Amino acid sequence: MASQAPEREPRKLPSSATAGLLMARLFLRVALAQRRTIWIGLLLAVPVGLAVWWRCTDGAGGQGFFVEMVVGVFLQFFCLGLPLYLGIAAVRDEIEDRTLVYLLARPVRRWVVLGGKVAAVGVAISAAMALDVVLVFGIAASAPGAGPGLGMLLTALGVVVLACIVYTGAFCLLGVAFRRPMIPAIIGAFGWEGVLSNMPGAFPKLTLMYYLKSLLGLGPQSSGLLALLVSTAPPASAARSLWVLFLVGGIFFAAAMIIGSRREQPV
Amino acid sequence: MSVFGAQKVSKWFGQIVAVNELSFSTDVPILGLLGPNGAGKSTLLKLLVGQLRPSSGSVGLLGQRPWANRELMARIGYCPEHDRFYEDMAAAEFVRWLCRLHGFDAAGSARRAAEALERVGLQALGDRSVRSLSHGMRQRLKVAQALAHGPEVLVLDEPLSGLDPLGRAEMIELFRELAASGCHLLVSSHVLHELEAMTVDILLLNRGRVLAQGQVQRIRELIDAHPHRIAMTAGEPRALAVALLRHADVMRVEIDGPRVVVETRKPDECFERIGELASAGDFDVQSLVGLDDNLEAVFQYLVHDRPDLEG
Repeated sequence: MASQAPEREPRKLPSSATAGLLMARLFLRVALAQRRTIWIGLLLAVPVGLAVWWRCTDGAGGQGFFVEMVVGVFLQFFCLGLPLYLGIAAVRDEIEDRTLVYLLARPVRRWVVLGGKVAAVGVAISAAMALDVVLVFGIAASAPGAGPGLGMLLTALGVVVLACIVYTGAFCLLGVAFRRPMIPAIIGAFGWEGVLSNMPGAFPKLTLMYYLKSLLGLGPQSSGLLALLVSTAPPASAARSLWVLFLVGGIFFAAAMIIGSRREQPV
Repeated sequence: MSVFGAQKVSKWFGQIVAVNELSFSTDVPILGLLGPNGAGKSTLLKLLVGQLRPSSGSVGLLGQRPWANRELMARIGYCPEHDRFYEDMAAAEFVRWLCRLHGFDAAGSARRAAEALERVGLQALGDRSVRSLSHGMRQRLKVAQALAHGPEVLVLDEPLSGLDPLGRAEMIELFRELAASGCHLLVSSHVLHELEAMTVDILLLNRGRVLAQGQVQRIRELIDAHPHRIAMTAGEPRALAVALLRHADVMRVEIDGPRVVVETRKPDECFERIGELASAGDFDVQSLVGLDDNLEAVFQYLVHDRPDLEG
């Protein structure tokens, strides 16, 4: 073994931005080597597979198909499911694996450790989903009949990315607030957001999904007898929807950072 | 300003008290933190490196409070007890990443990682994935990540656990070199001879409290009333036992074949006496060893035989 004395040189501590970027890169480096990344990649191929199957069988009226995919598959399933799984994993994995100890023993603000990882999750999910949306759009647009326009694509991309970011913040908050966050997260995602957003009356306004759908020009829908008996909330304006989503998303992220930076490591 | 210190610090988890109104202060080059499993060693170390917050009281490292203190984190290195890593990374990459978080650029981090791995004897294994390393190598890697950025203080939680005898000797030598170069080390262990081999300054913990602090000799002074045991082999064990029992300080003598073990309240006098008997040639004394000469006996006595010390 070498016997020289440890070298100490004056150095500047990394800025929060630099440290956050390093944290994000470290998170992605670790995540890319994990087996679950392969499974998520395969899962993300499902919408494209569905689009190919639709194109090969029916294959007409691409606009309707694209809207159905954006709302039914991307917004109500992937934009909830992936942030739920990965947002919680970003927080809990390193706590449970006890590798977080190494990061917290560095000259990096505690909220930056969490913030960098959460940002990496948000960006990664958004990028993957955006790619998926573009591929599905391409397939839908290639079908005969009324196809989706470029404006629809850009709106869909914006809504999907916004949904990924806001829900990532929400599930990261649950990840830092609860020791076992999966059950409250599932209830929140598929109970609150999934069920409440389709309830009659003003209930949908209590969900983020309502404002996301409003950005697509869609409101809660009732059908059959229910449509005759109950009233449904009309879509919110785009400005109001954006305002609510940014406000709530910002609160989720800020609360996650504050709680996360005050949390101790389990012994 | 002491390097390591605590002022009536307590830490509890629910109803479990891990550290109980513990106070100490020291600036020795190497402080050995000694205690059985569950004594509160790891909790105290985590408090000192800012991984945990005190429930009450305070802790200090280099005169600063460690919780959320990034300036202090730049000056310390921490080797945790548990054997957890980013398993898919190469050993050198793991250390490089952690160096980057100290503000070193990519080239500087790579150089420091290589140096740190060399210091712990892993220079040939830098490209190996952490998953493929043996327990002893992983232990060395933990030490490497703690010292790669050149800390002023190293806090090492059971750093010799899982190392083979050669590895232990090398790491102890490394710790001594680091201390000689001006680095302060706080090393925990529940294996007494490990600490004894690297320092004479000990903080003895049990059930979250300090049992004793100071140099080994001073700790031993605390137990003057503790009967010491001396073992010898003799050609005439029974006659030797009878001769020893004539003295008031001898409390008990055990005979097992040629081996005689005597318990005495005055070990120095007893040693001298046995030496005289041996040189007289009456009992054919062949070997003589003090069974309480290492820290193990002190520790056992303090932990088990003096409940008054445990508060």
